[in-house]
Amino acid sequence: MMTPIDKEAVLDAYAAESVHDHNTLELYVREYPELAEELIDLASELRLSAAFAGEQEGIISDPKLNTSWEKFLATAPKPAATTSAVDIFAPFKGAAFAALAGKLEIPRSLLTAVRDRLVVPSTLPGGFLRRFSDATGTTVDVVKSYLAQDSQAPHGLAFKSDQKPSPQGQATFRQLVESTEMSESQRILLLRECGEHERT
Amino acid sequence: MANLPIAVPLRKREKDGRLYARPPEVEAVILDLSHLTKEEFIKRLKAEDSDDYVPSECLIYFVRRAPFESDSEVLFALFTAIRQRVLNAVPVPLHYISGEFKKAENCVDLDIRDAVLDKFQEMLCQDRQEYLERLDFFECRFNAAIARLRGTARRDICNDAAHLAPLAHDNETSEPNPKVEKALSCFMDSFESPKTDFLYRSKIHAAISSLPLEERRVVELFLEDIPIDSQETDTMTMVKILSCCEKTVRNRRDRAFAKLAEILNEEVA
Repeated sequence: MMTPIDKEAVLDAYAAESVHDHNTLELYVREYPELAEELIDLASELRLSAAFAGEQEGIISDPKLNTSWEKFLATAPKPAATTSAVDIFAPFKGAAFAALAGKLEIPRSLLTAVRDRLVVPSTLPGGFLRRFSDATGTTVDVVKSYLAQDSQAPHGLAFKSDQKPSPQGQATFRQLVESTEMSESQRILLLRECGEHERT
Repeated sequence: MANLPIAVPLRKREKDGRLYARPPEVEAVILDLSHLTKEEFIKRLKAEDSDDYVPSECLIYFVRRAPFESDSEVLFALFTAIRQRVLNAVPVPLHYISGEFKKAENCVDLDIRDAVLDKFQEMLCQDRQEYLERLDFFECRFNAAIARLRGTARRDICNDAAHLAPLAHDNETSEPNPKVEKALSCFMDSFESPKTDFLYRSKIHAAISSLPLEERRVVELFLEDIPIDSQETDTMTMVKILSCCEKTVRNRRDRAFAKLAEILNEEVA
């Protein structure tokens, strides 16, 4: 049975579709017949939104403005939002991490070095960055922001040492490719990307 | 605005795992606004001409990230502006009061507008405490996100109102009613024709939104070209989607179009 969270996620996904036509509605209704009424209602609301888009009534009376503002201010604010909050590796744990390495055609140890920010960000080839952002469903800018943060202690070290783990030094992407065990075809591809990056 | 040099990436992910992304034009306005002084920023929020108009997606971005070190004057201007955008995105059309020659707002529409604004306020407060990924969609497609809230509010309010409304019987005749067939044909002609006036089209939408949910659903499926029934087992039909018999669907359709014809005739008159 569908949980309320799943239901909200399906309706959000339908609303986020770029086109709301017969085919999109039919696709969702076939996949989630138990949400048929909600999906039709949403299709109707989206049609209404499109019809009224751009139509402004001017200033509309908002009698609750001041009390809402006070409530908003009284809510303790969260720490400032920064790019550091986006953990691009969050969805890639365990088998998903191994699958990501496979998709990128690189050994897991190299992907671990990227995850732990042990590579100098400016040495990452553009071709690799693009393949990486495509594979993780992010953008090149998000990947760069992630890598630009301070390198972190390798995952798992906290459980293997008597002392507080400290971040290791960074290496260039080329150094990592040259020193990591991998197939010759993998190494050739990555070194070619390094070469193209260094020439630019 | 030195503390926000780039647009902060979103965190919500789509079904396929990709991060939600704002449209490039929204990102461009965010970057543009990030370079303004406080006075310029507040002035820009009030701009109405198309060149300087700030999209609602950008207003949400800045409300969530409290620019100018949470300056309360700026934040209040943003807060007021975004609430106005929410109110505008929940239209409350005027309808003729039956038996009188004047128009008034429908209390159900007003309740829906209130419920949407309350839910939006609740989400803003939650996000202020702890990042609420659901608000990311508002930074990408504000009107669609409000349509989501409106859909939920309408269902809740109309379901409550349905308890007080007289029952509509579905066991009426299933014979085609010539008057309804004519109304339906006129309605579809004016709905689909590109020559239809924008105002008249808005009136059609307002009239559809005033229908009871069961009838509104049949109209929506009708507009999506979904057949009432079909001999082909694989075809998606209203009978299958709504889990009711063909006669019930036809009766709902007839009631809906009779009401729409009546409302639109009053408008034209």
